[in-house]
Amino acid sequence: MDAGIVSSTAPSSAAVTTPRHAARPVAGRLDGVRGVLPAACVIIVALVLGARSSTHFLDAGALLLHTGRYVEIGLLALALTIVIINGDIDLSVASNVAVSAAVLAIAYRGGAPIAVACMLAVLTGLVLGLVNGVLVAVIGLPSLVATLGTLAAYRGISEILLGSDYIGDFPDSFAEADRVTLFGTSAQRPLPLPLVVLLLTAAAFGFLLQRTNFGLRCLLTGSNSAATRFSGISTWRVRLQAFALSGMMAGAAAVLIASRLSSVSAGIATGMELPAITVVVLGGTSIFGGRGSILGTVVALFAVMAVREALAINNVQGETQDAVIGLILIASILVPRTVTRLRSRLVRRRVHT
Amino acid sequence: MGETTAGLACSGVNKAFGGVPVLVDVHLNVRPGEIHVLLGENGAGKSTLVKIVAGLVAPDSGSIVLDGHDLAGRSVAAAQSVGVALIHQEPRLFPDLTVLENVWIDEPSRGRFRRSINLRSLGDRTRQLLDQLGCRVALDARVNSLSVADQQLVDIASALRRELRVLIVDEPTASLTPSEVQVLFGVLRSLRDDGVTIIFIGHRLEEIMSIGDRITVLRDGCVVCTLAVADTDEDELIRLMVGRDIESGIRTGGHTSGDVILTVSGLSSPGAFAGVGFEVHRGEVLGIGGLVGAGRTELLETIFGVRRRTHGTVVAGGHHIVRNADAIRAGLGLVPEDRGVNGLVVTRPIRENIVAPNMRTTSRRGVRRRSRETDLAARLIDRLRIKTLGGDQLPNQLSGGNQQKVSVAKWMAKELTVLLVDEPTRGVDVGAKAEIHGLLRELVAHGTAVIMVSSDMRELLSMSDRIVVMREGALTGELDGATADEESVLRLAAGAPGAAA
Amino acid sequence: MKRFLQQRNLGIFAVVVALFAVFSAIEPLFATAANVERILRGIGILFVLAIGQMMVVATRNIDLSIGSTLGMSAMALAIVAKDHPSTPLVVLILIALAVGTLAGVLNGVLVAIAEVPAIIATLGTLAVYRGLVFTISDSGTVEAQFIPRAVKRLAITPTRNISWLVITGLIVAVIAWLVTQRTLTGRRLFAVGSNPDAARARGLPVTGITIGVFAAMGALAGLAGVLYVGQYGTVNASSVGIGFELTAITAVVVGGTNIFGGSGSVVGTILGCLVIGLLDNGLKVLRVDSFWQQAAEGAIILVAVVADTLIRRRQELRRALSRRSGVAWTPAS
Repeated sequence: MDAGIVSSTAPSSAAVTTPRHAARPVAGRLDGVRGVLPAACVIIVALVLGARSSTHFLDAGALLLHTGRYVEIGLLALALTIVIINGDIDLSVASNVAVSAAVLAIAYRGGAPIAVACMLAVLTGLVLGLVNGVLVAVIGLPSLVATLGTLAAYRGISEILLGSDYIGDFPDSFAEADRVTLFGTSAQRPLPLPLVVLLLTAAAFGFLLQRTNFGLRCLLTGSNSAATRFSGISTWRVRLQAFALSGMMAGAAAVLIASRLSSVSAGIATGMELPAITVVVLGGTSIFGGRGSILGTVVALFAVMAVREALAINNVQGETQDAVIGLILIASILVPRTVTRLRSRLVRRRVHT
Repeated sequence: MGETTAGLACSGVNKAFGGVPVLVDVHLNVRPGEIHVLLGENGAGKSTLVKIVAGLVAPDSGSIVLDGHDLAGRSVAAAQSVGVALIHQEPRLFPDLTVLENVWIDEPSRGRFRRSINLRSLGDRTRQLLDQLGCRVALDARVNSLSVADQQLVDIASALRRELRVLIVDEPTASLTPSEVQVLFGVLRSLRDDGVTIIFIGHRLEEIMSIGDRITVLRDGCVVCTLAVADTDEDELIRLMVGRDIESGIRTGGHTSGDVILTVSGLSSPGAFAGVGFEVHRGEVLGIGGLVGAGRTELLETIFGVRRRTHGTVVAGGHHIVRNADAIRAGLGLVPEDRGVNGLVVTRPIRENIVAPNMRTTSRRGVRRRSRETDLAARLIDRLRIKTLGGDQLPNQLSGGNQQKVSVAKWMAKELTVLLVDEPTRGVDVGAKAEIHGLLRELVAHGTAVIMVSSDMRELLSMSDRIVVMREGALTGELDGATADEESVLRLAAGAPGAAA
Repeated sequence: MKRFLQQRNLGIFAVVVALFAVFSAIEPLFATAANVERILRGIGILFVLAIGQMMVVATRNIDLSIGSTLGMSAMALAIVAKDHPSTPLVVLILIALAVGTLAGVLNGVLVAIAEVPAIIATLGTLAVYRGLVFTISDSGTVEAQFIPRAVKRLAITPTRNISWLVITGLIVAVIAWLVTQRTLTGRRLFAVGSNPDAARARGLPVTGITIGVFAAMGALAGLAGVLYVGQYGTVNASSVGIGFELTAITAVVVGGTNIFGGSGSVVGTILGCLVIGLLDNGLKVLRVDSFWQQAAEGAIILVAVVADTLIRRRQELRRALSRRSGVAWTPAS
């Protein structure tokens, strides 16, 4: 007998099991789709409930005009998806946003053109992201701890930079970019600029993860970093790059948030890391790394948005909205797992009888 | 079957995982006070059977009777309470805790209020248990500072705490040195003489012949037969395990005519080995012998540039190899010892595993080309005759031998100058073993050099053109593959009397 | 004493001493008994939370929800005290503890039985429990005037110059030290975190231990809630306990606990809290701009963790070296 396909089976039973295993690789490819499922269900439920509460709810104009805040979370979540797939986490993103926004505001106040100030903000984000990357990937700190440290440190830097100042008075061309609509779209059927930015960025990240060597390296690193290293891939470099990306997106989010609020203070974006991580996990990315998709993150972002808008239209306040999102987060892990468990128990029982 | 009176009797045990039968109507009678060996290829069901006995896995049907108690499908605690203990190849210990804590950690809390036990009061008793096993470690030493052999003894001491009736040892010798194996065997024999029934799982036939009283051979989840050690020999056992004859394939060594393609000189890695130097020629197999812990795995990792070095050089094809990228550019590949941990990303498709070290050829400007990836994977699966449903299958659905082939395949996409292989056939069944050996020979015939670390003496002697031997982090000698024998290798490896140290 | 300050704790102890020395040298007022008491009182709540978090982290889990749990307990206590002013102190404390324990048990069930990774489960309950704080308080504030004097006395009135806050912290520390160092049950926390597979294989009640440690964390968060009401008087839904989880984790990590489980000590955690307390108070006494405090806290975590990682790496190397000599041929056999 030659070594069988299945490690522990006789040849006769291998034939029986073939269909099961044949189905597996396909399931593997559908993994992304399955990961999106909980979030997709949430969107539908939220839209239906919202529509039943108010006839204005499904008005695209009203819905899309509220996207500003979510787009910032979305930008953070996209890069975090890559970081988390690598098996790391970046808790410092919101504090990074604050420093980047502070740099933007101070540069602008110091006389720099707004475009230069924006570029400085993105650059700041990148540098802070690199610092995280060095701490985690080069020095070898656990990412949870290292970025917990930089979460405090970066927030401190933004407080040192701004003190209790509010810096505003941005030029009209810059302020409230979230209200800018594109391609002559009207307020009734708007295509807000931030949404376009988000979708383009998401497309870029999707391409990066699914179609480039970098993406493959991330998926391999997060699945088994030792074996990946033994395949000649510098896992530290992959992780460093992901943190740099995360920092850069924090810089980009800082630009959007400064524009939307038309003012920057040290406390800006406080706590934004939690909704961003929530979106990533809700989108089916494994918190332990190695598995996840950009599509999932995008769908989850829209799910969070739909739920919040549906709750808001029913006059549910912010913290209760948070609580509902928290429940959905737990359920998104709990329900699929319970279903799988019940199904396998059912199968076992059927085998017995 | 009058002998079931006081022994362990498994009858009609069936178990399937996800519809795949692993054990089929297994009957096994173990007499009290014997060392009963379970023998079989990987995947024959040995480990599952003992896990069922130890209460870790519930059987689908059948009974496990010890002293009139049916243990089938009960818990680990239930099995423990009647005196069944399982010692696994990887000791079930807690690296951050002390020896004392590790021995007692699963002691049930006694008393009405589940009063906790004061650990300090248990010192003397623990010392006694360890002395009985000839283990001299300090009670407050952390387990992660002990050798694997001592860790196993601590594990056994923990089992001895209770009144022990059945001790199951699952591949305990895999990572022990010969002297440590002898110590362990001494312990097992004295336990047997005290009336403990021992079930022993092992792969090394010569060990089995020396320790066992009776042997039960399993194949494909079924019991083939049970026989007394005295009535059989190694050839018969192999035949029973495999179900057919296998040619032993002895190769005469000595093909060292090719040019030098890899030179290692004065190589040192802190805590692993120091001052190692040798040359490797085109088209030869250089075997590296030595005991476990001699620094052989670390040597391969350092040559491959994935472990820190303090001194020395590695030169391949005129290029210095310092970092891993250099090694790969020079055409080196490494098939590591533990394929599930270091060799393969078992939760990603075979295709991606094969693509991982070959991204340069499967992509253009960093963008993946799906068609090239698929072609590459298909070509290598075909060439290495990997039994799989395709490149999209996950490696953890393959047998050990086929996993190992994937681990080799990923290096075969490009011109390979030197392949480093670490224990290439550990945990691989006999059929796949022959295939992997054939594959290595094929590579050598095409001019690749193979550096092979192996603890399987037969493999080392039959495959190598030359053999260098390491002991405690240093090279102790070189042997010609044609004339080397077990004794000469062991003498260099273990520093037995007569060796030129 | 030597055992007390073994290995890693020694480094943190040195940091505590150094911080104290530096601050005292610059500002004489720093080293007064009154100020030391102020420092201790300042970290009382953090301390109770950090001890619990250390035990959770030891089991290779984490509890992000403790700030919200504290909030629920504090708010429950405050509302009962306001609506039923005659409620005895003991009942109020029991209510807070019960609320905290219940929240902890739910976390434990999610992690141990439903197998939701702790970081996600408690990220979820962080939001859910905060939502409950708002729901039960109707998004409001319970003003200090409604809080019975008995509760406020817990923090304010000194008993021989040491407030109940500090005494409670000490009692919690002693109990936690006894449990984690001296009992098998306590050592099992570390066993589960050190090698979960082995814990299961050897029949340790992993599920029970996990739920238990989360329940203990919840109870401690409840206790911290009582202390919070005592210290601050006013309980506001949108500020009570916000961000406490991060400070507690910081103290645990600075205290030398490995975030991947299996290690951790009460003494280290105490020292970790002291580092944070000293910095906080020292910068205040030196009249350093409050904007620098956050940055200093971040810096101290990073320094502590980098140092810890480097030391641990060196220890591992030394261990590898000594283990190698252990492999040597033993002629005795």
